[in-house]
Amino acid sequence: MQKQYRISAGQLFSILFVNRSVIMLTHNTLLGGGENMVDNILSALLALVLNFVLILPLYFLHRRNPQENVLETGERLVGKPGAILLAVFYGLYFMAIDSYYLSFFQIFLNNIMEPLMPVWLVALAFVAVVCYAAYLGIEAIARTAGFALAIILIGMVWIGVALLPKIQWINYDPFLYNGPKQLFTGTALFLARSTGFSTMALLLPRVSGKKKLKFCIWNTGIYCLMIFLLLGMVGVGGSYLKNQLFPVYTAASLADAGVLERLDVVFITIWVAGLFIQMSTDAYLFMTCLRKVANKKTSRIALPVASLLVAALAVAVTYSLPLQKVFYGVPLLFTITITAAVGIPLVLLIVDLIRKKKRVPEKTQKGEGPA
Amino acid sequence: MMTASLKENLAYFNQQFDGSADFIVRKFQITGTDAALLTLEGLVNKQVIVQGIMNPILHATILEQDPVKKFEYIRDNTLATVDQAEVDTYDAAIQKLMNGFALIAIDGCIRMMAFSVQGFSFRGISEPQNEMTQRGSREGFVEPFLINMSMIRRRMHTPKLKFEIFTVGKESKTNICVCYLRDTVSPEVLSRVKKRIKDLQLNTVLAAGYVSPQIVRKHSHFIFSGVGLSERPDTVCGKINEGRVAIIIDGTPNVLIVPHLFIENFQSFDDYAFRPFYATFTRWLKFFAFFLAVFLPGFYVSATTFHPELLPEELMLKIAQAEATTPFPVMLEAIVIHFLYEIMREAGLRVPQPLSNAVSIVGALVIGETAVSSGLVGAPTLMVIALTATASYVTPTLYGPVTIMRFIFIVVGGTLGFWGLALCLMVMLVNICAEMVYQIPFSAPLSPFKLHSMRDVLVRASWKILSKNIEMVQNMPGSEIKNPDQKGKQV
Repeated sequence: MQKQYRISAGQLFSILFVNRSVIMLTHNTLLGGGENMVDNILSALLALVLNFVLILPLYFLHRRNPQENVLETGERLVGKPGAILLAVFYGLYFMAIDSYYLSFFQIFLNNIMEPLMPVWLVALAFVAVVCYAAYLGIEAIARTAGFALAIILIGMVWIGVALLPKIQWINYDPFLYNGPKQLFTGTALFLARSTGFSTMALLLPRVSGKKKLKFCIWNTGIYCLMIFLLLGMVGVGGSYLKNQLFPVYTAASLADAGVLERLDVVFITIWVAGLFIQMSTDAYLFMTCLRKVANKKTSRIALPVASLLVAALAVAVTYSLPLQKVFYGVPLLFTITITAAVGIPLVLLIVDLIRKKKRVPEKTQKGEGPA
Repeated sequence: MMTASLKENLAYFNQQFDGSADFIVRKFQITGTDAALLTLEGLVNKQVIVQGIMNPILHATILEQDPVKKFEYIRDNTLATVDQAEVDTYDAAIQKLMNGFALIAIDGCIRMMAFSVQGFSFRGISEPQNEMTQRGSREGFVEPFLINMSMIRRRMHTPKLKFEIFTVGKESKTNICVCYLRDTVSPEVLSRVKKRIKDLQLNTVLAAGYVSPQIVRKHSHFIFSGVGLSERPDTVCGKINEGRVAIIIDGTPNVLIVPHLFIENFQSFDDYAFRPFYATFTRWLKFFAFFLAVFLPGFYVSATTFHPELLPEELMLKIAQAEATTPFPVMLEAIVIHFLYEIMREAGLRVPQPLSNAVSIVGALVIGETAVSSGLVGAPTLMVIALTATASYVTPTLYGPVTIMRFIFIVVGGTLGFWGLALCLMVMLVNICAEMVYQIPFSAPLSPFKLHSMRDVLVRASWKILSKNIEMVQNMPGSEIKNPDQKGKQV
């Protein structure tokens, strides 16, 4: 029997914290659906509250079947064909998310940081190291996430604190100045770009420790950090940030600390750290999904092939505006993410409840249970 | 098995040693019975042989006529040696000879007596050159493993300290001694160590480096080693007190210590000899020096090649001015200077003492001064490499991996820029985090994180805190060892 690698609850939520910080770093007004960046603070608060609701299907499903991930539960409830379908869906989802975030990074490099750097080289470098990390296993990734978490926390607090002296109160527009539309679009964006629940759906059975407490700390902590950073950014940049592709980067380049006249090197470090953990986790989960349809050797061979496809898609998106409109559009991403994170666990939970209710009356008829 | 015939036994040994000049046979008679003394020249103390063996035998009044009874009488009543054993196989006899024992063979007796009469020359106990301290002892291990064992025994006055001896190497038959505390070591770790030692397939074992790669795992692609190395008995005693196993190899002053975690590379004996605040300061100095040694050249190359805006304006102008006159790209300069430094370092290790001054002059004046003044390399680049090289020696156990990684970071920084450096950093971290040493995470207790362990990791807490509940290595977070707590359970 294959050895089941276990990680602690702290390690899982370190991974998720790091993954979600990538959302923070790549936030911009174009995707956020409006010009009033202050409204993103309300979006973050709303997303924080909604997360406590949206986790419920997965929570109850895991509580009923603590030793099974969503694929195993699906196999038990809907049979092997259903499990294969689920595995393919989740596998493709994780790979698509990798392309999504990798393309963001490539756009950043191509437009702002290093225009002469070949985009394909960036993609290949990332997928190569991500495959290596995925082969090392979830325990290695989880431990590395601990270091990445420290780097990201220090980096974000450093940037935030460096921005504080430059804050001008006039830059803060009133909340909902342009109406509530941006609030909802921003919330949808935050939820759509988060792979946390899907990751939990596959990894929770392998996690030991206080999951509920760590979930609460994670959910609250990441959004508090996001709000802190948004406050700093908006206070410093104001309307200037509305036109920036990567306003967090712009804010970091405006921040200074002593002899360091700009902190964008900190920003790049924390972005790369976060992206590495995000992509490695997704690549590992892709292999996990693939093991449902094939053996271990096949899944290990398929990973580099899939990674090359991820790289190719990321490069294509970087250069193609129509693809960007589709790929970065909130509706598509929101639909897929909510399906993976909430929809499928909810359906499985309902099926599990129905099946267990049917079994209880059968037992009662046979005299095996209470009347 | 040996025979009872002295003539046949001597013929076997003569055939084995084939007239080797150091194989000595002294024939004599014990009250009419033929006997022989076998030794290897240079390994034995002849004075002890004469006073402790030959004189008592030759002057003894032995009434027994049966060779076996004569053997037993001599063994029990005549000799003045402390350590003696009986051997009845040729292999065991040869092994004893190689270890500085003298053998007495009596015609008609199938057994031989072996006496410990070692008298070989060895280097005196001195301070280890590679692990100097300011407040620790000045004693370091030497080549004979028995003396090393005694140095550990002198510091750990407990009967729970145990030594087990193995022989490895088909040709060298080197003695390896496993040393541990019975009530702190994990039985799982110990049994794995012993198994790995028994499974060693080597012809010769001449240094610790022969053994260390195979003690941890058979095939390893990890950058850092999970085996610690020390020349200090006080350090080894401290490590075995934390549940580790020390492996003493005959012929080398380096003692292996397993399991060895990444964070231990930043701990030294002096940390525990100074006050906590200063010890914490030096601990952080080591972290910073490691960071400098690995990243500074790559960061410098990346910043000057791709991201000059990251540097403060005045610094950027000075660097630009210096590099404007050099014909090579910064990355190439950094690699070449780094390579030259490594050549100088290797030369410094192997150069004969009378020539060391000349080599220093060539290194400092010709390569350093002349290269800069002629405009071949920039002064800032030279300074960065020099600072990096100095920082490398703050953590000498990491010198090898740091050197290789530095080259990699220079190339990555020069070709990909800062994002490449950050990615390389993550690869290094995942490589560290993936390694398991005897089922204990190599990156523990930093990741998986354990707050309680930070008292001797990020800071060096006071002895009042450290002496409460010694942290056993098998209890590290993420450890997969079953039944790690050995208190009260002796091996």
